Amino acid sequence: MTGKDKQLDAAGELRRQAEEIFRKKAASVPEDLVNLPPEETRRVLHELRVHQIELEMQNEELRRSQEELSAVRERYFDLYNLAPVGYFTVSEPGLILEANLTICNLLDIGRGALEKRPISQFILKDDQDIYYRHRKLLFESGEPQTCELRMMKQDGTVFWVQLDAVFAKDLGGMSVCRIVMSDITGRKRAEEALRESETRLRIVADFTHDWEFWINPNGGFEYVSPSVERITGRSVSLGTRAEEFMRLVVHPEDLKLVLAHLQEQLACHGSGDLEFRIVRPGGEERWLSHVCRSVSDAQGQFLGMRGSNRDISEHKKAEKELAEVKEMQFRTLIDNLPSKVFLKNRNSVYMVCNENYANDLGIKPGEIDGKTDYDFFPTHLAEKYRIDDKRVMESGETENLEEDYSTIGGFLNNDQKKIINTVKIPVRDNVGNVTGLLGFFWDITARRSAEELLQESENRYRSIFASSRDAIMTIEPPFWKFTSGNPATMEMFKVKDEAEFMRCEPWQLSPELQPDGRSSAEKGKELIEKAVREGAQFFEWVHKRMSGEVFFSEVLLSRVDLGGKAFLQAVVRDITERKTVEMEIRSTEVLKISAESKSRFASMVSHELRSPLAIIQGGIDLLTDGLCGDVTAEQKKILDMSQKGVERLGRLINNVLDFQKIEAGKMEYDIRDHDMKRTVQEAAESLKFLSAPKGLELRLEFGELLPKMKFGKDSIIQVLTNLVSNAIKFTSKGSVTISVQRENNEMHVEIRDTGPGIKSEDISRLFQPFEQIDLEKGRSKGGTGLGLAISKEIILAHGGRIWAESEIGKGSTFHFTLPIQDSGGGV
Amino acid sequence: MIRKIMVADDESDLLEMTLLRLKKTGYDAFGAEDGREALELARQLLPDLIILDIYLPFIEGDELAKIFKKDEKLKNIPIILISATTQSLEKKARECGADGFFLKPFDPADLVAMIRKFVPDGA
Repeated sequence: MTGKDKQLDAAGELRRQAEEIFRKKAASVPEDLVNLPPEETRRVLHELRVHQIELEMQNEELRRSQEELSAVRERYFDLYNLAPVGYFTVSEPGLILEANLTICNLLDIGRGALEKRPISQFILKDDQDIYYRHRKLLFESGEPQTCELRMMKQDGTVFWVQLDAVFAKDLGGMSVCRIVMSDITGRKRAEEALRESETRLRIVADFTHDWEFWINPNGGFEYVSPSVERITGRSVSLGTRAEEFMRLVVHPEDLKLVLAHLQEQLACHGSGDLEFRIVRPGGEERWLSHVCRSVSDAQGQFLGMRGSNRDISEHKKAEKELAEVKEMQFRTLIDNLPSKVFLKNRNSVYMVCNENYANDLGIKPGEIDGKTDYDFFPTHLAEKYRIDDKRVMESGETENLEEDYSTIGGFLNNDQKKIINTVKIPVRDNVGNVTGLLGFFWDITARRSAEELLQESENRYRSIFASSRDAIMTIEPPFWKFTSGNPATMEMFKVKDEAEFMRCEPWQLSPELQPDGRSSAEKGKELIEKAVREGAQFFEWVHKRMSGEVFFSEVLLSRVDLGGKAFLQAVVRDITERKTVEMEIRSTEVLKISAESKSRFASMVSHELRSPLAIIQGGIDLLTDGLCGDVTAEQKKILDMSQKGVERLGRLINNVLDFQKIEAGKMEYDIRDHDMKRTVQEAAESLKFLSAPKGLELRLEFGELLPKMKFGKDSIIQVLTNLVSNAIKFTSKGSVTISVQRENNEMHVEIRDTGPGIKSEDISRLFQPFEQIDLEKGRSKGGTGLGLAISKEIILAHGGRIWAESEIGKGSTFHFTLPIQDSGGGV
Repeated sequence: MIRKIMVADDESDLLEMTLLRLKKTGYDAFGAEDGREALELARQLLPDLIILDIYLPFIEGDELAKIFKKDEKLKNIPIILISATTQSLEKKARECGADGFFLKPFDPADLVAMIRKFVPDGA
């Protein structure tokens, strides 16, 4: 809806309202109007009334508008006078035509004194040029003008204003200039202070040792302090891109770091610090410490990066030297520690170790870097160590461990296994995160062994005490009563148990008198005192068991000092038994010696006996054969007896040698396939010269199907000869029968005689060496006493058996068997 | 021609008894009491038969036998080894090339019988 429509609407509304009012009044229209044609009259009247009301309403409307206008004007006047900026109108020549109250307040002057005065009067002389220049421009061009200048109050106070002027025509068509004046003293002061500060800072920056700079948001140098040249040996002009300059001066190894930092700071508007190296044109390296901060204005507009680089080369050098000294000291310290020391990272990879540890591992300390436990230790140990490492690093708590230790190749000193005590300490970084592990350990094998040895020793003594066959007891002062006794004590003295033993008086365990006739109590007391005074006493003693039995003993009475208490320990040995044992030992030793020297002895004897025997034999033969003259019958008889003696001695020597050979296992039997029947026949044939003179029948009995079998023919003939010649020797009438039968896998040979028989108690001793000689008188007939013993050994060596049966008065039968091997064929 | 027999034995009594026996039997017997003497006499007198005791001073009997058996002039002379020690007598006799052996004490008649096998008596 346009403004015009609104007006029409408003007029329309007024009319509508006026007509409504007239209609209400129409009812009271006077009758005089009736002269007019009533219709007309009524219409005119109506019109008039409506119009009247319309006018009244318009009147009212105007009055209200006027009031509103007046209020508005007043409001504007207030605004004009009380605005925070000054308004004034100046004529073309520069006279103040009007000014609001603010101007008056600013200039500290009344309104009346202000009007018609030139404005230049209120402007500082130095700044009047600015005013004139701008006024001229304004009136010439008609363009609005703005300027800043200083004005003076009535009292001479200077203040800064900004003047904004526009060209205008006043009511009279005269050119005027309307000016808005703002007090900018506060802003100007701040600006000035800032400028002053900046200058001061710039001076500081220019003369600082540090390389100060400002990089604008585009990465160019906004400001660089002159010290950049002193530090880097290069100059840099403003506007140069920082990145470009950095590429030129920064050490290649640090360049990436520096550029990344630069980019990040420019992008993120943060702050940071950094240490990096630069290289001067001569190649000299310098360390710089860099700090920077982004700068933004009050509105948050990013202005760039402000930073400072400080040359810290000297500091770095000193730091490095200090670190080296410290490292050296630390190194010396850890290398001289008796413990092994190592450092591992979070993954249990070795970083450092001391010399002591490296020696164990057979490497140099520097070589451990990057190695793990698997490189040095058997898998099971390496795993264990790493599990421990993990636990310590995860819990963050130091642990003290006792563990096994052995390297893959064994240690240099060849100890295969050690036991160590290890301390594992988690290592943390600045913020407390565990980054690795520090370990110390030392060898406690010796200590452990000492402990074990002690334990072992204790066990040993305990077991000796408990299981000793000797009675071990303690006797304590002041009354010298028994205070302990081992089980052997109870056994030896026939005491029920230790409690009963401790109730015994020592005199109860000895007879009244000792063999030398002295009182046991008196002598015992003497010995106890001597042991206390002089130390261990060793003596023989006669003891008495609780059963009353007396026995000989050996006593070792020693003084023991234990925990400041002295007591006696007695070890009592029953030597009745020991003496028996000793005798056994002695006889065993004799046997052993004789067994060892028997061979040599027998060999010597045989030689030494045979040679003279050969002389006697030779002599007898010379005489008997009549080579030295005729021999009488009597002489011949004597020579025959001598000859028999020589033969017997020769047989004895042979038997002794055989027996010795058999015992020493040196007898060779030459076992081959032989025919037993033929062997027996041969033996029997050679023995007929013994049986025939006595009129004894030598009978042979052979079973059927006697196989060939393996045996030493000579030795079996020796057995047969022994047994048959014995039988012949002891049988005065009747017969001697040799019977050969096969019984399963054995060949059974029997030699039966019809002699006097052997007493059963003697039969068991028959095969013992030299037993025959002790048999009943008259039986000792030229035997050596070794024949049966030799026979037994020969048969046993063949895997057979030999035994004898006899009945007094009826005769004896000697049996032997020989095993038949499968390889033997039939006859 | 009377056959010569050399007997070497360090037992002088036994040596004399043996020599007497051989002489009575009709041999020209001579003796040596040690190995060196035996070696010398054998080379000088070239006996028809040699009887050596194993144990002899200087050179043992079986060693002596080996020497004789390698000697061109002596190698065909029969050698009888005698010893009072049974230990390896047979073995030694075989090894040194002896023609017979006897264990002391021996029956002199047996010895004479063996000698006769090699050297019929000269009588």
